[in-house]
Amino acid sequence: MPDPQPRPLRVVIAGLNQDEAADAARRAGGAAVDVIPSTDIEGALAVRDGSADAFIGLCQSGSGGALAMAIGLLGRDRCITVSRMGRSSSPQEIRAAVGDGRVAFGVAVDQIPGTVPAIVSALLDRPR
Amino acid sequence: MIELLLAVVLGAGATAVAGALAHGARAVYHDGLRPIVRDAAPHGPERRALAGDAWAMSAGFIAWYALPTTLLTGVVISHLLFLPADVLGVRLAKRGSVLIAAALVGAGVMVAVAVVRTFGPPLLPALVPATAAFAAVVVQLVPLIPPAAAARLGGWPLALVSAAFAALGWLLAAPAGGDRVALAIVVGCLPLGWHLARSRVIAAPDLDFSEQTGRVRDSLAGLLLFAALAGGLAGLLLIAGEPLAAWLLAAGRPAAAAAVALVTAAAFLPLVVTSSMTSGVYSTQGYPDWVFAPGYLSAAVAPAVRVAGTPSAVSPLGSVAGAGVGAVGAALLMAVEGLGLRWLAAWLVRHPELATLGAALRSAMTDVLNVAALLGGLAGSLAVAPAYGPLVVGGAVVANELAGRRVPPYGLGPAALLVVVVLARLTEALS
Repeated sequence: MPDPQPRPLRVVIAGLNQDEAADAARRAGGAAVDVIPSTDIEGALAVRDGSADAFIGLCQSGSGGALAMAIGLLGRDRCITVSRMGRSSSPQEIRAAVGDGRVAFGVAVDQIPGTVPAIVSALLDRPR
Repeated sequence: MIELLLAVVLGAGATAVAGALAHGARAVYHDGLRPIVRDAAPHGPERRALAGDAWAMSAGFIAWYALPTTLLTGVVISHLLFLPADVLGVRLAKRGSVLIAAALVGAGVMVAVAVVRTFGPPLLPALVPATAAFAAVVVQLVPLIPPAAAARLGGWPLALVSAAFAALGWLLAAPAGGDRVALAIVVGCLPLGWHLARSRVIAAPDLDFSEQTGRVRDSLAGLLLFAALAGGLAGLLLIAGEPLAAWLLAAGRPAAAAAVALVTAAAFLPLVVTSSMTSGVYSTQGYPDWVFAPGYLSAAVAPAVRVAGTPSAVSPLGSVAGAGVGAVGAALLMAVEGLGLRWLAAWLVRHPELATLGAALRSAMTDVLNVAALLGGLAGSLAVAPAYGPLVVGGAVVANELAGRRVPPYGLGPAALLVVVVLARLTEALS
């Protein structure tokens, strides 16, 4: 009997410029990722109750509005800012954060094109 | 002289109180610091790392969001005062040290800006026309904020309705004796309120934030003091929470600046409530920037007081009265916030679309600011150095894109225009 098809990775995206980020995530993950634009509270609750696998929050700094609700509901240990205004963590650093169990990622809106695909790739490569 | 003294005292006082609030993890200015500041023990070694994080997330805002616009307009973008206050409050071990250091920063910034306002135009003659041209672009573009937010919320149909409302506000302003830009913004936002009123309501999730909201209420005395001091500065038209409002003040449009401040408050309200109710740490400035609106409006009621790029023409009595109105109004608004937080937090979790509205407004403000920064930079450079100004501004934009957008677009236009203003002085001296 063939292995069942793994379900797509469910990623909620909340905050500023979420359409741009959702497009970047879909391009990076293709059919392997189910991108769900959401509000921050609903997105964080979805990760908390297991109906979503990861949360990407967006704001100017990547650390304020991007993660405020996620930190409050998921805890700081499960959240990380992976890009700030003008710079982004490297794909290796993002991969390490995913390996550490981070599930909520703060992204500065000016870094969406580089950072969001790196997050999706790291999440897809994570053993599930 | 009275205005300068008042500005230094208010600036030093507001920055000192902001530092003390950050020191006690009662309130911080940066939204990104709010969720994590209570993790550091009052005298623990982790405070050094936290201060490093605070600086890392603040430096870009200080360098690009605040500094170029402050230098051009002579209006202090509040990030210059209160982001350093966050860092000092987190970094220094003793509250007395925080108060002194933050007061020195506040006083230093206010004196430095007074020097720029006084000596900038005579030393750099291109500053006044460059600033005026930039401000004229901002005046034209800020009414686009409501339609741009509406487009993100409800697509083109809602954007067109919002644009029609904004146009109506613009047309009705003259017979009513109001500011066209202010009314266009306010009336253009009405369809957004209608959209929100029709949005879905979800069942309240099982969340209890009473400890956090109670802690914010316990911090209210310090927040009221801060609001009064910062509101006083707004009454002097010397402070703005973001660049668009600063440009409008520089253009002598305080009512329009008040309208932008109110839109900013609506844009950030969900973020402030969310981050406060989950952390127990409030926003130093409350919902930015409505605490500035009473001060701006006091100047709008009194006749227009300032011409772009020139030192203030406010009479001493007008300054003191404006600062007083700004202080009292700001304190009242902060009281409403602090006392209403628990209710608003409960309402927000049942109305998640309020966060969507806030995000749409913030995105729209950033979109308009980015466009205004580049077009304003071009207009200013054309006004003072048509032979090479646009090349400098355009070259900076191209170089920044090639470098991976190291500088946010909203900072690039004003910074490039500053370079053009200095170049214009140098070429004049050499010719």
